[in-house]
Amino acid sequence: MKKQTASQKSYQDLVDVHDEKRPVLLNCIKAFVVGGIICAIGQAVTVFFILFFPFTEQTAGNPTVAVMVFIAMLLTGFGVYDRLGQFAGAGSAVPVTGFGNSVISAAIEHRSEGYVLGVGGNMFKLAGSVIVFGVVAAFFLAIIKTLLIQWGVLG
Amino acid sequence: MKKFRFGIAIVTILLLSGCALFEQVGPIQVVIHDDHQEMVSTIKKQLEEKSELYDTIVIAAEDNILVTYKVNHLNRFQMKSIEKTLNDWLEKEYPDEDFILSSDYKIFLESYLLFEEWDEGSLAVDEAEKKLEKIIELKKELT
Amino acid sequence: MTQGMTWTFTNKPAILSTGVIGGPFEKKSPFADLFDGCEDKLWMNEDSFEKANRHIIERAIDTVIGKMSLQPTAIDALLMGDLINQMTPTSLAARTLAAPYLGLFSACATSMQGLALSAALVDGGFCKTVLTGASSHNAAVEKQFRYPTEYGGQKPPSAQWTVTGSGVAIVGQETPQHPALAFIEKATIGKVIDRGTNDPFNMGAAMAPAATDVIDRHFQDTNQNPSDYDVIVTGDLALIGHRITEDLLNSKGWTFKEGQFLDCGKMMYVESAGVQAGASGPACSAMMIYSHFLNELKRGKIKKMLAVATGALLSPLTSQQSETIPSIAHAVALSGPTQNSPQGKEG
Repeated sequence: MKKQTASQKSYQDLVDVHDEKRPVLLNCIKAFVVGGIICAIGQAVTVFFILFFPFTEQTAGNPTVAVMVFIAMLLTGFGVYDRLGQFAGAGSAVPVTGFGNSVISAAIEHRSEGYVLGVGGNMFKLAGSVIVFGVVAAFFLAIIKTLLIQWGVLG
Repeated sequence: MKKFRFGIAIVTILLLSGCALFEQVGPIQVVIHDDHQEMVSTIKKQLEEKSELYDTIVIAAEDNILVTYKVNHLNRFQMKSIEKTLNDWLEKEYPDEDFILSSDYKIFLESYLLFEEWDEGSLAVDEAEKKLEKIIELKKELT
Repeated sequence: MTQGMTWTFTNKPAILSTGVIGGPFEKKSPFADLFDGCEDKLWMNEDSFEKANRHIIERAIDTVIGKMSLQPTAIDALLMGDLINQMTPTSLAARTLAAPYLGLFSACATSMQGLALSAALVDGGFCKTVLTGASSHNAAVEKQFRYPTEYGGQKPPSAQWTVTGSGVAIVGQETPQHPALAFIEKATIGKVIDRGTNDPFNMGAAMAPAATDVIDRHFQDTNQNPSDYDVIVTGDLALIGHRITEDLLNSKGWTFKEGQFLDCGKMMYVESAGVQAGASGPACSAMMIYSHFLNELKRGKIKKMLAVATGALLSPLTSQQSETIPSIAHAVALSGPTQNSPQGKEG
């Protein structure tokens, strides 16, 4: 951000007087509760896969993620998820359902531009950066871990 | 809304009732080959002494010995080190045997099912061995 | 004729008729009865939100032409604008109407820009009948400026809800068949003001200095003060911006009576509607002024008003490049028909 001039600063101070701040503590509590509920549902799905399908705790994660994204897709399509998002904030954005929501909402939005350039080209408009930085972070972590094992710091 | 709550209650009851996943069933031992009897008892005793674990099943076949256990919830962060110390102990006591350790609920569940069938006597030795092989295969699956 | 930088119209250009169409959400507005109609669905039976925006413009134009039983060819000029990519919804609607067309862009200040220019065209004798207005579509604007409509991001309390709707008016000389709803007296064109805010979720704060500047200049140019107007109404400053503007104007020595300084963005929706700070969008000021406030002028409940539409001139690109938000406001002074009309009490 560029440096503010004195008049910009004084105006910003005036804005701050009148601005309505985000209720951070309340938002945190809401996010905790809603995020917790979403994760509890996810856990229930995991247990379901462990009980009725040949998945171990290790391997049940993948189908669970798929199911949760599918649920997020339905909620997004029915126009419920954005309302949930407004209420819960990070609570609905951080679990994998938030990732699903960002992909699907973009896909729905750009349907009018056609399937190839519209849906295909814009689907990862929001989620693309998650994937890019996820891969980049994973790459560097893997390098660090490999080096540490090579040097005998990690077992 | 009422229907929804009712539905949730039903699902919860279905999930929680009569299932080895949520209640303590052990300690259990299954000995498919008689010559392991003594060793299995020792292992079982050793496991019972550990306060971090609360439910154990030991299944011994001819060349594989499967040890599954449930870890107390608050000790789940130390799961890796628990497994390591246990494995070290087993390797030291019985260097000739092959041990498979698992704290996975699914492996525990399958082991319990195997125990139930074995207990009823409806399982032949080679069938039981085959089932055990399958459980071990499942354990080794990573993705 | 000008006073300072304010235009004063001498030939009595008047608003003759209006067409105001809202979207499904605007149906719940406390002023919905005064609109000419509301769409039931956000899609409006079109296959994209941009087309829906065009549809709502066309419907408003049809309404106003129908009310005056004009031939579409009688429109001498069409002065309109919206927010979507190069104003294509308006341009495509203009294609349907086939009238001489001037596309306008002052973001949410388009409504008063159009009204001021129309009045000037009529006052100068260049045009007889000018159609002016502004429109916006919530989902189309969200798509372009913010996130996809169904994306579950949390909006801060300073965010505003873009109005779906369209408000148009016909400006011309009063005739016996078409009595004036209101006369356009003066107009002050705003300058682009930028006080360095760059939060696209707090447009009110970005636009407040522009509104302050234009109101202040209007009073100074015309040697008037707030007591000369029954109401001074701003476009879409909403809760936060309106408070800032009032503060800024107070510090310049202009004070208002209770209920004299209003804001369309605050009035558009009931408080419980879940729209954070209030309404925004070009349609917000156009719809409120062309329905509720003109109605008040017509009924004589208010005699003179100053309508100030405010616009934030940002694009998604400039805000991503962390450019500050420049903004603009245009003020138009309107007076009721009873006061100035030749057949009125004074005449």
